[in-house]
Amino acid sequence: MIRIVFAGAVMAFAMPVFGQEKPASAANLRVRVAASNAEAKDLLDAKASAWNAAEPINVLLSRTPRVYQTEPTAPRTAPKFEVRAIRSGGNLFVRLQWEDATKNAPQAPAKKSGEGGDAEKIYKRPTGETSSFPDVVALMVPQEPKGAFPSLAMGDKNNPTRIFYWNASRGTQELTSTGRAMQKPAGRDFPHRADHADGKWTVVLQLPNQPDGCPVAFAVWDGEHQDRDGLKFFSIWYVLTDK
Amino acid sequence: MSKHQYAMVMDLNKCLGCQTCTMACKKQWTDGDGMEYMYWNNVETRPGKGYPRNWDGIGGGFDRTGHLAPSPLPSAEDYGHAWEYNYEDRLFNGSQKPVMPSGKKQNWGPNWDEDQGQLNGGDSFYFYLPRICNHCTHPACVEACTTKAIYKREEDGIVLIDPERCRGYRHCIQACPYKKIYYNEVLGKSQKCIFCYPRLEQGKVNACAAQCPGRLRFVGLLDDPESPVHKLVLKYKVALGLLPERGTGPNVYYVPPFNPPRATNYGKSLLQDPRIPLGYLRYLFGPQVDDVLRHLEAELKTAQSGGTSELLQLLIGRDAETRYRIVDPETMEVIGPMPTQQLVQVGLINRKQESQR
Repeated sequence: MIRIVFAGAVMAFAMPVFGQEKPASAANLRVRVAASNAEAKDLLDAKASAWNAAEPINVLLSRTPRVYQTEPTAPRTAPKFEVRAIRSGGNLFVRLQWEDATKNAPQAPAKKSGEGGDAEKIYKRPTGETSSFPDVVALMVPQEPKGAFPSLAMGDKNNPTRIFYWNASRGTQELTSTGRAMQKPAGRDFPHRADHADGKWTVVLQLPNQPDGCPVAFAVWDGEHQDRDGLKFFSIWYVLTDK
Repeated sequence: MSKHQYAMVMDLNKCLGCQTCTMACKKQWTDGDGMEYMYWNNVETRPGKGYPRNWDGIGGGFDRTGHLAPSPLPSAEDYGHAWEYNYEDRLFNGSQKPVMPSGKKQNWGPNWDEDQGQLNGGDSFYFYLPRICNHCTHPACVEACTTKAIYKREEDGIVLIDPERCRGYRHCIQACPYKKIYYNEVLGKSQKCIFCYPRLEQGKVNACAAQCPGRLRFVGLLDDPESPVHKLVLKYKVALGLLPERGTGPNVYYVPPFNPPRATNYGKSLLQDPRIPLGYLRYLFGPQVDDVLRHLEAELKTAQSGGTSELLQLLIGRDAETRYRIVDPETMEVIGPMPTQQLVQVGLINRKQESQR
């Protein structure tokens, strides 16, 4: 009995301390969108001065629950993830920057040549790595912003999502999805620029415009740890808010 | 669960290790970009480490509770990079060095440990193990795939990857206990043996079987009483799946090897002091291997003493009609019904469905 009372006292004392860490309020879940007249080619440069006017938002990421049986059990720390957004010329530019000590961008080796004969006919492009995975980042918005937040698990039947996906090995790809394992390539890519320096990725995506108040969510995969698929860090829904 | 199940039986006593099957498959299916290192059909020397290296020792399949038991992903070095030879130097540039692999020094590859035997009490033993995808009754790859890209064809049980759905996540490779799915880095997708379904649909047998000079492969529907695989697996019960304890219900079956006998055991039974240790055969094919060898020995004795063995005649498999029975879809519909117990045995129905019949 004494032990139970003691445990209760510790709980009551501990709760407010946890609460002080990062109070979850709606104000923290906004991505402020700055307006700019800068051209696309300038905004794709992450160092362009226009980005200084865009407010940096630290988006909180969580690890997905261990639902995949192939996932290693070792605990992982979520990387710091910063988002800035600019609206310009009918596009939404998003600059994503996150901690990642190792750059993982495996590429299949080039076709061989130089052993005689018609190299074009003889040689095929080989596979170089079978157990490496690229670093990846993705941004998700509802297909039709109508007030409801779609399921975070890549949307649902009634609330499909659009996913803008960047892969360090393969570039960008747009997907549509109505839920987990329901993603379909939209058959489009989109302009981007990516750079890894000082233990950080900085990726600028040029997206079709999304309206003020549009929900947006993010996800990051670390290739070094064989992250892929649902093995990732993800955010809950944030809201794009014009200044 | 599929309506019918295509299966293959390989008689390991007849395999020459010539790799003609490997080349037939390579030329037919894995000649494209990103596929150089892939051998959907490979032949490895046992008790060697195989391809990819140590594939049977790293995990995969299901554990005793029925959960996936994924392995680590084999590295490119575990498969072995394809290499080139210095033909140009030797043939055209006047080099006096012999023709040798050029480029980076290799330390593994498919068939790397060819013909390396192991000593068993003074006698060396080894045998060849040809391997393709097992088109399992309960495929771990299908269960592991989170994008629903892998499926088992309802009409004939062949397991395929839909390239449109596959995103190259490779959960399937970790889940497969046989490591018979390969990652194509150029395409960013996984690929595997398709049991030559386009050939079967034209009434032609699998390329690996068609080219086999040892005539060791038998192909047909497991649930077709007229097919050689039905006879070898279910009627005569002399063919067993590989690593059955992994729980996937493989549909490639092997007649276990038992030759040659030891130099010193002339006149003794196959099971008395065999050259290939029974423990090793039990590891590969399960505890039923003892019964299979006993059965084969009895048939051999019958034949050697002037009698006729239907089973041995079938295993000799002189012509294609004996070894293969490829049926068109209309015929498939009229096959059966198969005895319920056999359907359970091959996994075409489960116990619950059996009780409902």
